[in-house]
Amino acid sequence: MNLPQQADSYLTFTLDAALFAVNVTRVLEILEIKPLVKVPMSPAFMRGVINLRGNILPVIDARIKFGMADAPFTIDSCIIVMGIGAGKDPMLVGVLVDSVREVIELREEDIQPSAGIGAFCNSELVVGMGNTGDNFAMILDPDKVFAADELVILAAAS
Amino acid sequence: MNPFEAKYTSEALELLADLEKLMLLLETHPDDAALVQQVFRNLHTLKGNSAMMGFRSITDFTHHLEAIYELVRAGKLKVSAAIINITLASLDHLSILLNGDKQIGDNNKHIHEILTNDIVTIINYSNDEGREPEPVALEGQSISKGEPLTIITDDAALYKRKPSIPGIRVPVERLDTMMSLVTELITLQAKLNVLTSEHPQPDLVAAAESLEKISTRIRDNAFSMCMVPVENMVTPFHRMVRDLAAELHKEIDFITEGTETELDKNIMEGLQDPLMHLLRNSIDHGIEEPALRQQNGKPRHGRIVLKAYCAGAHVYLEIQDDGKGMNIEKIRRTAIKNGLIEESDVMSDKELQQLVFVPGFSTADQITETSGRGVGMDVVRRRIADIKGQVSIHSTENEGTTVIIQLPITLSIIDGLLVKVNGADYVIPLSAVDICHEVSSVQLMNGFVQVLMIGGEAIPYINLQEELEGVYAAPQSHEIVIVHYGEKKIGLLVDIIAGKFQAVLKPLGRYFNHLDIVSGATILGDGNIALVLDTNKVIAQSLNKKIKAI
Repeated sequence: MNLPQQADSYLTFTLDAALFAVNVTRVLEILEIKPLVKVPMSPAFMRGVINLRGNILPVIDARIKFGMADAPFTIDSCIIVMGIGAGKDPMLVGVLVDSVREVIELREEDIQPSAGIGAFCNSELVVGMGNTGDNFAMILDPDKVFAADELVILAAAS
Repeated sequence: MNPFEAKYTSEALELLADLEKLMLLLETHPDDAALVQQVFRNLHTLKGNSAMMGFRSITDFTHHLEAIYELVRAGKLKVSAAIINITLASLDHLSILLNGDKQIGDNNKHIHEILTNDIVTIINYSNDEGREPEPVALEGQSISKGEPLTIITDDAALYKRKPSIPGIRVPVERLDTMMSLVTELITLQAKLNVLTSEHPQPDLVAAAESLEKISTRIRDNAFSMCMVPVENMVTPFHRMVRDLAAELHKEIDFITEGTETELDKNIMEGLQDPLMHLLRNSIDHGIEEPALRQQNGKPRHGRIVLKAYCAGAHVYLEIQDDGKGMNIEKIRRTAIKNGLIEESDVMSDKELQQLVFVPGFSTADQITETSGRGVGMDVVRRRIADIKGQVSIHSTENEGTTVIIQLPITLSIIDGLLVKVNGADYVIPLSAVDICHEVSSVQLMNGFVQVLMIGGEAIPYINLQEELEGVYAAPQSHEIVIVHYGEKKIGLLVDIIAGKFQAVLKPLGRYFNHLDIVSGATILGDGNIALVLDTNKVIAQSLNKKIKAI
């Protein structure tokens, strides 16, 4: 008997017109937009910090981070809280996105290696393209996209 | 009981408790060499400590007990039930001694002799004849199973054990958890205060006030639990000074004062290395050779004093030596040579002395084993800055050098001034604040050179709005906070001063590691976030920018 194909759950969200996905194991919660406190001298994509039940949560604007045009918040805008880094104590970061869509199941065969060019040609950041049936979702590796080291380097450069 | 004895007793009792656990383990794993080794080590420590404190009977008794395990370790004796029994009985006896006056009196003389006899018997059997361990074990067993053990239990009942334990050890993580819970409580309290002022019902106000009193006390209590006397850190230094002085053929009296002063354990941890380095500096570069000292009319013995004291919201540590001091001219020349200052720069002696903290500065002519290997005073200053401290040096040639370290009492809660800059909330640590003024009361303000005159004093100022937000718009600032910056005073222009605020410092996280002008964030009563400014860094950064612009 064949074992059932391993399928992982992914949370899909939109930025501009593009569809993205992250593995749900990395997602802790989804928040409404809260008042953001801008931290001085930080890069533009670092929108600020919010109060997450008494703790300070840094929030990254994924639009700016990915070089897309800035857009005003809509009713659908929200913050996805993700855990970055492995280990017992992952670092938490909020990612500002245009809207959250749904949780989909993707089997390994549904995921194709990324072959895009342009902003997302960097295959380091995009793990693959997930076939959602009528669309493709770019699967992000939060560790790589939102890792603190890279952000710090970016900040130093800017 | 003097503090040393109290410390000795609590340590000894811990060792005993540890030993008891080990014995029970040993009972099930009699051949475990590592266990035996540990038992031996614990006994040895106990013996050493007791000898140091001069408790002869305990020392001798422990010595005998230790001898058994010495033999076991050497493979001359095997751990048997008899040995374990007698050890456990001895441990009980020791703990009675420790809880009492640590002397052999009439009431415990009997047990003491019986146990000592038993132990010596075991040792002698194995030593004299090199017999099989079995008979020894039997012999021991017969003795310890008989009278003495019952007597011990009887006596133990007779003795009233001290009902209270003087102290318990708590894992650091639990303390940290408690501290973070307490800080959350304080945050919640602030929120409650905001709510009650919005809905001032008498019952609610009364309850909120009582709760505030209690939470303040809980906070103070929790903080005191995380405070450790400086003593704990300083004790190992005595040995280091002694050894190092001997190695360098110097004669040094190391004197400590005010070591009962308490500091947050987190600060203490960060202080160990810098203090060690400063002491080494004093010994190596400060104090002269005895012959030279006599030649200069100083006593042969050098003096190093480590002084700790509390003043205001800070704890000060001073390391003072009566050595040769620093040569101002030499510092000046080195600084010019290393490009730190210009030949034409006019600096006070005090300012020149602080140059030793600048990276890449070292006047030591030769690099010695002890210090002068690049890890210099700049590292000391950085380490101390990490724990939010400041360091300064004052030296008089041929009279000595004093290094003064200023530290906050605690790291996690600070008293601050809540201000608004361009609509955003910021907290300025109250410890840095000198005085506040309204802009309208300022006599003269020159926007070009950014200097203002207050009470006839010219004070440079920084427009925080411009500095933090990069906004160059006409200042809507109405108030000025004058803060200390080293020896100088600098004004910070803010929109408005909202009041005093007790800020629970929360880290901003790794994303903002590069950002040193903000030392953390705090959550206000209404749930908003205010950033806590590190005024020293803000000013330093602003000055740097100005220098670059020129």
